[in-house]
Amino acid sequence: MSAIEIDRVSKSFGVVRAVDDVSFNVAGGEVFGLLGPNGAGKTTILRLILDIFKPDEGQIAVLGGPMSEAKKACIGYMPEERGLYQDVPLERCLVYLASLKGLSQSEAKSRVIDYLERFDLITYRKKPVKELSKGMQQKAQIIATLVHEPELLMVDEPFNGLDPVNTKMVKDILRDLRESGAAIIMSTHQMHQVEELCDRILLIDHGRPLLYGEINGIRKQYAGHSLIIRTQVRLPSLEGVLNVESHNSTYRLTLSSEVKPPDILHQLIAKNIIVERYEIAIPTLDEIFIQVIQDGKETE
Amino acid sequence: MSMVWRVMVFEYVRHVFRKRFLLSLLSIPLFVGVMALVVMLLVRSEINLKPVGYVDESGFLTNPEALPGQDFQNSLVMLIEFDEEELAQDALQAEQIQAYYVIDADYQESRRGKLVAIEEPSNMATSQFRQYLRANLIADFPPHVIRRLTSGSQLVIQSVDGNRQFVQGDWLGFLLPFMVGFIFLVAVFATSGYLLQAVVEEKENRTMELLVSSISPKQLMTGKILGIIAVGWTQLIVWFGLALILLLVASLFVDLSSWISMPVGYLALALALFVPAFVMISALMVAVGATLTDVQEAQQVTSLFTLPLFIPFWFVFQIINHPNGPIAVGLSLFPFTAPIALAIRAGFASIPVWQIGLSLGLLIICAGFAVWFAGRAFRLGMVRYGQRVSWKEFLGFKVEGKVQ
Repeated sequence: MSAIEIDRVSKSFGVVRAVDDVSFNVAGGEVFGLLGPNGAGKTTILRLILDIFKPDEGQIAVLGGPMSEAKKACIGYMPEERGLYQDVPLERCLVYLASLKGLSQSEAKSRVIDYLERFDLITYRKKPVKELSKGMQQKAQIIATLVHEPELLMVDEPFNGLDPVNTKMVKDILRDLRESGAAIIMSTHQMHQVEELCDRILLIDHGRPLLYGEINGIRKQYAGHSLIIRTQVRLPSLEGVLNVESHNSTYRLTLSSEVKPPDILHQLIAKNIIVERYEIAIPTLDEIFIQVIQDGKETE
Repeated sequence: MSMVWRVMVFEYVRHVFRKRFLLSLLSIPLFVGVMALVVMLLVRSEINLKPVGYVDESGFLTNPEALPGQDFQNSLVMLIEFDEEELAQDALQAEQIQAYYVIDADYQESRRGKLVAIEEPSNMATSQFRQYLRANLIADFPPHVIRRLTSGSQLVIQSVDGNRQFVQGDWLGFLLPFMVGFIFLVAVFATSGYLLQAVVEEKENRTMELLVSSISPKQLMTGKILGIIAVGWTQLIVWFGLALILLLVASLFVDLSSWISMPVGYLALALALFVPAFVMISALMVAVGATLTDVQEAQQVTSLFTLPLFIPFWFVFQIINHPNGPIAVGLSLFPFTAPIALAIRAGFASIPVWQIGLSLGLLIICAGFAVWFAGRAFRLGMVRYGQRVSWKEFLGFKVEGKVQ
């Protein structure tokens, strides 16, 4: 059963079509990346899932059916606009937010204290939130999102403001949650985090879906026209190579559409070139992101 | 209900344990107390409370009788008897007394006496000595005659239908409509400010989106409104509790028996007016809080519908003099002025039932509309950070939106 199923959903605000015929699903035990440039409609999709906005068209199923108040207790949401009660002591603020997820006061308190210790915030538990640094507030926000151990987690830029140690901790927590069967939607601009954590992605722009599928499949789909070769000798001219970029002893070859990668390897062997590294250059998600968005703009 | 309760308790604790709340809680009684003290000191400094002496040459006052329930020898201005005028003169020169009276030997027949003073004695001293003389003059009458003579006449004015009546000297009956209006204003202002602040702060803190991912907007707003009303009423209960203590202390010195006989029908009408009016104002506060971006801006806008609440006080003389005139009727039908205008009118005249019904009906309709309006404003404005909701959006027109 999918944790989320979105079927041909559209939403407009006035004359602006914020989400345009978007469909995707997220399964339990999966980290799903929701990507797109600023203003693409990512946050609107998350708000549609949470029933903060109603879709104009299409269907949304959350944890097996329409969104309900009872299901909110099974969902963890970290919005793009971080929000905690600034003048309330940290522990009381987090216990309150946890209690709204259906935890009893004592359970909420015990879990919050565990998390505060884990995130090294226990000494600040009595301090008003406004006295904490931005990074500390970010950690507190993550605690508020995770404390009730949600089945479905939706996080918008979860690594903003975190140092490398805490970034790793949050990643480990997300992986643990995935292992435990939770479905996770992560909206971010940090493509290396997406590559590291996500199983599948949806890339949208102007509310429209541009790319959808498994990361490896997408990367392979955009690969095939480039090779990476390392050799200690100077690379001779090769047939079917349109461009060569070199960095130390590594060359990146851009191939013409008629040439296949094995043809280049045959040419190198025929010319007695000792090849230390030969691989099909798989583009990074960053490169794919930029290419897809630019292609989208050109077609408009 | 559990979620509403949790929001309510959190909201209550969050506001009540703030320094700002404690300051505002204590500042009003403190201000009133200091003002009362200053007035008392000023009055006291103006009043000469030195004893008044008397020389009774007639022997008429040799065994002075006090009026029932009064003790002249322990009143503010003490009365001291001197056997001879020289002794009284010495006391006057030594500034031990402010004046002395000499009751002529033939006072019983002539009713003559004289006052000796360096400066004119205070009104309180003169009045007290007169009462003392009067009490002695009627001392031989039976007790019920003494009581009747000392209480004087009492004029009772009653409306034609017998609903309202005024007893001469019943200052409470006169003040009650104003006090009821004042209590309503205090309740509205004590609560609505917090309500506005609570909604705007939720947007400023960016907590709204997080909260509505846990509970419904309806649960959130119900909990907040109940919590804030509890905060406002805590303030009122403390203030009125202090006022009650003050009255209890005052009752040791002043007769407050008329307080017990407050007109129940009048108070029921006031309550019936205030509940929908309170809901209407609170809902409008939520609507403004949800649509605007900061507390200061919101406070400026809310004055548009809090200021009209005072309008009946501006026209108070017209309402009292012509309680069924066009101004009084108009103000008691307009929902923002109705609670206070109708309460004042009802205090001074009989109001046609249809007017009460129409006024209440309009108030309830407006309260219902305000709640609907607040719900729509909250839904539209809850995740609009740093952006207002325009009137066009309220009315459902298509406008340029911002995608997130």
